[in-house]
Amino acid sequence: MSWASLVHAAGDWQVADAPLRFKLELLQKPTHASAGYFASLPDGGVLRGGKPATTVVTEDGKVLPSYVLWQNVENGFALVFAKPEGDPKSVSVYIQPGGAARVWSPNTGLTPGSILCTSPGRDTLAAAQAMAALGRVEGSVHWGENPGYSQAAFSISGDLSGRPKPAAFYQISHVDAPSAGEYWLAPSFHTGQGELRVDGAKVELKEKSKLWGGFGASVKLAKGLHRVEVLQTAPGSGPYSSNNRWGGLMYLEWKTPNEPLKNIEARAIKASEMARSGSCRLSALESREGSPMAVARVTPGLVYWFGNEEPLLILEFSALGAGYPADAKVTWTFPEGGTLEGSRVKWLVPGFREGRVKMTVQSGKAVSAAMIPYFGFSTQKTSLERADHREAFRDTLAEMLSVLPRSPDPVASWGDAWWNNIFRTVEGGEGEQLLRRLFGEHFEAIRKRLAPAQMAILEDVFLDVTLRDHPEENLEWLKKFFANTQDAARQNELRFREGELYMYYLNDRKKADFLFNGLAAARSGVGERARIRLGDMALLGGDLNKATSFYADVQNRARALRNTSGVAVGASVTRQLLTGGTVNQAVAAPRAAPDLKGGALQEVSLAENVRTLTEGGFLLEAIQGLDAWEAEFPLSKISGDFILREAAIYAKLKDWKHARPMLEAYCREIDSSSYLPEAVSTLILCVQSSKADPASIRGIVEKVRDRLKFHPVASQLDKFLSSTAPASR
Amino acid sequence: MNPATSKKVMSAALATTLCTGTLIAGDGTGEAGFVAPPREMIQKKPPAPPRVASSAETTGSCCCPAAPMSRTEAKKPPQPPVLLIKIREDNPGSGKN
Repeated sequence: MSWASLVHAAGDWQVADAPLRFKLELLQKPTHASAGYFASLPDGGVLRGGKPATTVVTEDGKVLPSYVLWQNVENGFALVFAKPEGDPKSVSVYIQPGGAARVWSPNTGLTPGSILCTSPGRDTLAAAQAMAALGRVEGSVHWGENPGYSQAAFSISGDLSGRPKPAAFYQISHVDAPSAGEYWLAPSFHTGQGELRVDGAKVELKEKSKLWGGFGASVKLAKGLHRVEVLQTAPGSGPYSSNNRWGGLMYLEWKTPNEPLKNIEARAIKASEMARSGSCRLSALESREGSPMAVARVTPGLVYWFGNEEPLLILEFSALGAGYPADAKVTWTFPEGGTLEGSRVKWLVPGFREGRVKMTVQSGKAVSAAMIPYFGFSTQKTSLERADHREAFRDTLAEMLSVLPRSPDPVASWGDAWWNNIFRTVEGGEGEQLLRRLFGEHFEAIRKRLAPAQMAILEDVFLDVTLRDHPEENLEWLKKFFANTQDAARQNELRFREGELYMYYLNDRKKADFLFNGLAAARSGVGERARIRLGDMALLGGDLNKATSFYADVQNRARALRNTSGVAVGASVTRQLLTGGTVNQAVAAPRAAPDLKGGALQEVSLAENVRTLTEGGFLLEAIQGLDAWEAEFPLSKISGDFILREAAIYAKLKDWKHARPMLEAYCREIDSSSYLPEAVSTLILCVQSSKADPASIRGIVEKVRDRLKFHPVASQLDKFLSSTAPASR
Repeated sequence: MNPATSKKVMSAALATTLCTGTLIAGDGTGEAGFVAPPREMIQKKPPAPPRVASSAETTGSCCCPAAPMSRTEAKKPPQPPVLLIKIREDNPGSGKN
């Protein structure tokens, strides 16, 4: 039998009286020709909630019989249509208003399967029976192909959209009986109520034996396809279990005529014994007049869900705008009030919640708008070990902040999940765009929402990321943060940062000297750090004795203090943010015995800690470890590998302005040490990577080369010197 | 203490121990960094679907049947370096180094 007849219409529009058409790409082919193709198509607001009369036409004008399974105004309609002859890649579904909609019935000759229709929020068989009646259904009802479990092809495991229990289900399937005869059908309903229908007749189940699959019914079947329907309820609440052993709602087993089964009455129906409709994908919705139509695809993306926090996930909204005019502008207005523009946008939504987005397409004077419903659910595996997964959260949130209304401040209403995920995704050298937007446009709301310790850590993270490329802006932020805190210790911390800014990035050592001298008067941690910086400044200025004197002075006091307490090296920055800084003192370096060996052990421990953190990419933590090391053993700058480890961190951050000066001073001032070869190599790397003038370090390299003429590094230094012209005077 | 009183005291002590163990072990609510879920997540069911016309392709069977949305893998905290150092102490009294 041939399904096809031909339509003739002017031009590309094949059905002249149809104002709309959906374009579908044909994907997976049906397992049986009669199973046809299944499509789920949106209402689009143009169908006015009515059952649509459809005409499905192939590219070459052949009409394929098509039938509606279910329809509602929220989800549109489920359509099944005959398999076209040959191997076409696409078909068009024309919509004719006022035409009589054809609802599928067994005598249409099509045998769709397996299609699952779900009514969330209902757990009665009456709700399942309403879906079994086909045609118009309740607004919340949705549908889709049900692939079944790998071990049980005929099964219902739960709501495929991820909505929680309760729910009622109706599944329409067709099974392929391999031979005529008596079949034993054994459905296993794990929960709720269930009903099995074969070829439209309800099957009465009874126990045949206590063996596996012993509860069921004998049914006479002819060879070929038979309609098997299941009505099922899922009472209770919460998510469905995906456990293979006791999860799922039901599965169907059978025993074919004369099939030898040992110690069981039935076995699971195989995938090859079921008819499956082909699948297709909506590529466009077009109007006869050529005006653009608003239609979209919602794709669930990455999930940010920890512990008992509210899950957040990224949804991607894509306009199916294959036929849009070039000047078409697509906008998306989200429930929170923000509007994004673009044919593909992303938005963070709370998990397990319903929502809707208003999509508008405008081309010239033609405007089309539609509401796009979504449900916050995704199964995409997400790991914060992956930089791109951290970046996706930050970028999506920054984009949202750029379009959300400012009043009331959206940040003020964020729950813990939003803040904690910001903390988790802000890493050393990452998150500048998001943090700039947060501090720049939502400063007051952040200040009110975060604990002072969290605020200080987040400010530090932001200051660190803006330091390298925007030192002048960094200075402005320092002033703003300074003005917004009354805490003297915090103010001193910010002054210290300002000193470092002048010292490394703004090249104003006078101002840096002034600030560090002011802080050095204080008998506190920041005072000691200021004295270490004064030592650094002396080293940069070429006064090794003065530098050593500052370092030794601080180290002596630190040793006295160390013998009475452990050395705090801090927890991970994310953990400090999550806990508001309360765990800062929780992780301490091992307490050493108050003798020389113990001190040496502790110094090695601190140095190795910094090295491990740097290699692991925990750069903020490595800088904190560096601070702890420097506070205890500042003389390591002269006698140890402190400057090398410091340069390694800032080289990873590509912060050459910070990495270079101390290396340069070390190579210039230290006559000989086992770290000198690596220091000079790293200095050359800094200069080359920052594209600075190599001649600026030629003199230093020459002197080191003279000292290390028998060391393997000499050949590298010779190569550098031969390729570098002397500095012009 | 007579045997009956002793039995009562032992039962009470055992019950207290078991309850305390159950409360302390397991759910992690007392750990540093625990953030309590919003109240509405516990009590409220998802709101009813909106009654509006849809213009989106249904994204039903996107994945394994009823596969639950899973938690995100956290970034692993930095691991401390492993140092193995033997410090030999001189003991003049033993005559050994």
